Amino acid sequence: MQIKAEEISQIIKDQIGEYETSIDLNETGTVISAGDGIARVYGVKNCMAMELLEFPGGIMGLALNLEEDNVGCAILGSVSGIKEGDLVKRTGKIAEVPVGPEMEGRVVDGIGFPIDGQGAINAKLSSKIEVLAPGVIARKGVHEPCYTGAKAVDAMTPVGRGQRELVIGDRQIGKTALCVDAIIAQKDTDVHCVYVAVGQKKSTVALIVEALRKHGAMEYTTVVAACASDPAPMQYVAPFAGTSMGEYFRDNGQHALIVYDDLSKQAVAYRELSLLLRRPPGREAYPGDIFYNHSRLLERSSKVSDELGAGSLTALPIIETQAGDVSAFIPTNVISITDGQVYLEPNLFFSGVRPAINVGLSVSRVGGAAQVKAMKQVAGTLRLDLAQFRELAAFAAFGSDLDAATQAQLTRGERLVEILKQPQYAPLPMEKQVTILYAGANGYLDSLPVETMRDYEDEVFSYIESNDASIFADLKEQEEFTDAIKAKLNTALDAFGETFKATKGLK
Amino acid sequence: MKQIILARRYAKALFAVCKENGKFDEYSDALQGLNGVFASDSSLADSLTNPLYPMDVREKVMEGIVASMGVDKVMGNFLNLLVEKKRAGVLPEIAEEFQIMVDEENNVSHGSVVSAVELSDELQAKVQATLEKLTGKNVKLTTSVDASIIGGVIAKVGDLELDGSIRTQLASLKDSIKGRE
Repeated sequence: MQIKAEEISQIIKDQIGEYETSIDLNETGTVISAGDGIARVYGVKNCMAMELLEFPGGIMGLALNLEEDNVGCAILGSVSGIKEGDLVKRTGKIAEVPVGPEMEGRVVDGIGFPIDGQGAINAKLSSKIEVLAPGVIARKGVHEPCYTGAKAVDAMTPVGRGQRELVIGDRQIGKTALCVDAIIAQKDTDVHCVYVAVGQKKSTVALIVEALRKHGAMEYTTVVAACASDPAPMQYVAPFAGTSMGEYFRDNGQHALIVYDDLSKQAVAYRELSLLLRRPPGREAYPGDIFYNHSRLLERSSKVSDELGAGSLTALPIIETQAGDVSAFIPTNVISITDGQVYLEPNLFFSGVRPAINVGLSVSRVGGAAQVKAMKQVAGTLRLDLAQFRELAAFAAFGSDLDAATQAQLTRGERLVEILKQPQYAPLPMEKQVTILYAGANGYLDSLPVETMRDYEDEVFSYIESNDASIFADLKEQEEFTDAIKAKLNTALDAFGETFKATKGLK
Repeated sequence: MKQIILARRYAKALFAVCKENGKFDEYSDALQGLNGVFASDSSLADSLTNPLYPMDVREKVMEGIVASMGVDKVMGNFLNLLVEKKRAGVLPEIAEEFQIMVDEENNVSHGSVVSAVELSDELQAKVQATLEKLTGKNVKLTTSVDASIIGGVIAKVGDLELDGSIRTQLASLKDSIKGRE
């Protein structure tokens, strides 16, 4: 590339010409002590809570503790350049992040600066990091589904737009995978996504961004990454910043989905911050307001009323448990705040049930209100069937002679468990989910061996698409199993069952 | 860390006495003077605060200082009390806090002006008038010269800083050019 010195000189000349001199008028203070991501500042008398303070070198600090003789300040950046006696300037601004459609497709840090090397974000709007959640009048009941693309979740613990559904489980059992699939499932819908990574490895975040990009999900997704190497204050504010970005869509009558991955790391970061600020520790050394920290964050995810545009912000917070201990402090807190939880279990994961959702312990407090009629029709008996199956399976493990009814129930249960399995990065649209669940619930699978379920599912979709695509179209449009659709589907499933058996060499 | 809260308590007590007898300037001068000696001669501070010396010796040192300074009884008692309560080390902060309270009472604030070249009296008066208008208080100015700011002035009153130096303007010009890249 040819660089013309002449042109560059002209650009600089123009900019100098435009530059207006102004005298800086600042309220200032001095650093008393700095270290561990915290600085104490003397002066800055009129400083506001959550105000940004500017340290030398353009590093920003967040005023958290306003005390009689000093201001306790969390430093959003490297603390190493800050020393005692440094001048601190007030900015007069409460901490805010850029928001708007320009954020989509970008990877930003905890305070909205781009870290993906794609240049500056020219967002026209910015929003405060801490915003009060909408009040009672501004809200509306959750009534439309927000599909996660996972059959087990959408059928048994449905998530509605504006709901907060916790994803909880031990490390390495597919919590992130479930949520990333939920983001990918929003492709071709009007839902915008925000993925907040807190305290994760940079390599993990890079992989997730790569996966989202590969599946075409980055176009409508903002990734907010406060990684393990970022200072604790960044990890603490990142979920709030991400929520502000999601709220932009909610407040403009659009829909958004936000994933917090994960809130236990954010709680740890907040604990670190609080202890350094000498706030008194409570249970598990978490500060007294750790519950408020999570509740005010998650309350911001909501479905707003028609007068305000009927937008929604759906949240999928993730909590990592230690050895399945859901009665620890942070898990119980977040369970009580959210509108239900999806509980992932290591035993299921390692026995090959993936996503490893424990159907018994997972609930959605919004329930059927967030399901379309078709889903209710097929999923109504699913939970009960599975519960009975588990009970019988435990019982049947000891005996061999079983009556026909028990045998039938076991057969049905085994196949239902099998069709609820799903590979990663393959979220299914609603019409396909209900189709396969319909086949399972109506006995179309009972005569087939359990091992063939995976093949059956893959092939039945392509069969219906090529032979009677109107079934999917009708289901998508009418969202219920009418008699006409049932008739068409029954014929298709019968015909496919025959060819499937033939190709597999079954009787 | 500075013991500001503690210093404020002592300064407040002394100030309350001052309000009765009106000897603001006298006490302020005495404290500032002692503070100056403290800063210039570390052995004095040591002889008053070092726990290795017996208490009565330290008290005697302070009594000697009080006698040589010729301050009145109240101030003398105050200084002796500081040693007795083992707070002689807080004296610089007390002097500072006391000065702030006296300034508040007299509606005075202290400011400083940094300039690249020596300011003429006329200019200094102008800066002072501007600062007084801005703060609504009588401003006592101290001036200093720092060639590294290139030109213009940096004026400071309390927490307020007015930065009109060429150095800062060049830095922000640099930022504005860099920021648009």
